[in-house]
Amino acid sequence: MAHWIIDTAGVGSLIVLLVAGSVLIAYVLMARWIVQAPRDDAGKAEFIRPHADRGESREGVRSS
Amino acid sequence: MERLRESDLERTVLNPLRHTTLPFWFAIALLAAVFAAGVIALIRQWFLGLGVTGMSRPVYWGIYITNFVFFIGISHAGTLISAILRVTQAEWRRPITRVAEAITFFALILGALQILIDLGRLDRVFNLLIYGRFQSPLLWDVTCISIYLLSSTLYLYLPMIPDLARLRDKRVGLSNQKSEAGDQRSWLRDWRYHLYRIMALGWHGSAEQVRRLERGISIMAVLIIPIAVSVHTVVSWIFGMNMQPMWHSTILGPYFVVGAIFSGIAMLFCFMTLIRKIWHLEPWIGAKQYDYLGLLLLTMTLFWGYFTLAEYLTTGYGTLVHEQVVLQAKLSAEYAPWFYAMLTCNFVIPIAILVRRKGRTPVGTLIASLAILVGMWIERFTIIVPTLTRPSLGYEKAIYAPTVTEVLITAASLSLFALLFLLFFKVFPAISVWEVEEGEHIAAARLKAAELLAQPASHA
Repeated sequence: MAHWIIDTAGVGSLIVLLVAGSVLIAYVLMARWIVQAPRDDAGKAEFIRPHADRGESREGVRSS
Repeated sequence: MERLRESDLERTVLNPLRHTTLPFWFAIALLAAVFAAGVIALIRQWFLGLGVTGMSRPVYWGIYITNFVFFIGISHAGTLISAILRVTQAEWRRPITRVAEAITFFALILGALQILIDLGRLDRVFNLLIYGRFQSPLLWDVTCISIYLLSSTLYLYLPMIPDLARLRDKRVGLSNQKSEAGDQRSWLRDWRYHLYRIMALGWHGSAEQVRRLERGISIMAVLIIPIAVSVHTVVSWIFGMNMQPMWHSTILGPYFVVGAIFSGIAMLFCFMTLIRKIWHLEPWIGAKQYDYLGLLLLTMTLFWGYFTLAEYLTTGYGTLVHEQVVLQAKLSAEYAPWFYAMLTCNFVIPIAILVRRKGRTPVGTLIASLAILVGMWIERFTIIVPTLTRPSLGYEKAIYAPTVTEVLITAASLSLFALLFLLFFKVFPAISVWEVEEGEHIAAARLKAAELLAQPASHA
């Protein structure tokens, strides 16, 4: 079985396309997950809050 | 007006996007001219065939494959430097990560292009799709490089999103008011505004979105390290899995990975120094970056020296006839000048400069890096060509000499690399503004915390 997968012409290309395609889909889904984050009512920080879930300082300068 | 006041960082980083100087246009014109000459040579090669190159049986790989391995090696700059430094939370990496990630992206594209150039007939690339067998290391290479290119693209793009949103919002902010720098609306042409708007993907900077972005970047930073290591290991196996003298070696995998990191850091130094000078980024790319990265480069110099010694000592001690012939070609025959130039460029010069702190300056590291880039290209050449001129099969000793066609196409590849890099940073900020601001905020918060802790208790 393994010999057939490795040696048959065209199967290797299929493997490459499947692997690369899966990776591409995963990355698109990750970007989508980030973009679709809900807005909150606190407003937009002038710069990004640093490490919000790591217990560091939560100070941020907000735009007026 | 408070809203439109720009920090020094913003103003400096966005200045190249707003203004184009004459020297920049001159550089673009020069690079484009070299690129055009290479394209003409390539078209000629397509029509006349690979006979216009110096390649022939048994030297069926020459400087195109050398260039391929060279560019793939350089691509380790962004990934390993940016990713590893991000994972280890080295704060000094913040101003240089975008340059490193861009180098990775463009180097991968150029590396893949070299394969297409080396094919001769472009239609042969479809054979890969129709007849590809996973027994071949070439297909492993295609798999790894494809995944690496996708990963590097995402790893470059994700940290750009907040800056793209900032650029998008500047257009909105400028609609009814003048900026502090005068009426700059004209600089943000419509096509750029639309580009930033689309690429910003509706970024609104909420706490949850920031958290998800940082989580995504962290995941990519961890993932991309083994991907990068696998890429150059598999590239080395194109040679290592061949039963050719001085190719069939177990050390080739780690040797190539170390060489890739080595040349990647060197290329980062070159571009970092260039943009620092031309776009006046000295306050953000300073002594700390040159000192720490210089120490990293010195470490990689020593690693490279160790692997080179291990490879050549093992071969020399082994006395296998076919390997001794290739070894002698490098140590004392026609490839000796290349070999000793490689040692000088990759070991002697970098150690002489980088071992002293006074050498780890923009000028010192630039000289060392340029030497390393030349030396690493020579290293690839001395791995590939001497073996092919003296194969295990019963061929007489062959001769390989690159032709004008190959030299022009190589020059065009390097020009295209520089051209893409400069044009990219004409449209997008060279420093990740939000990450540097985040770093400044973290540093300020830590300083404040340290001051509070240092105050004596004052309870009644």
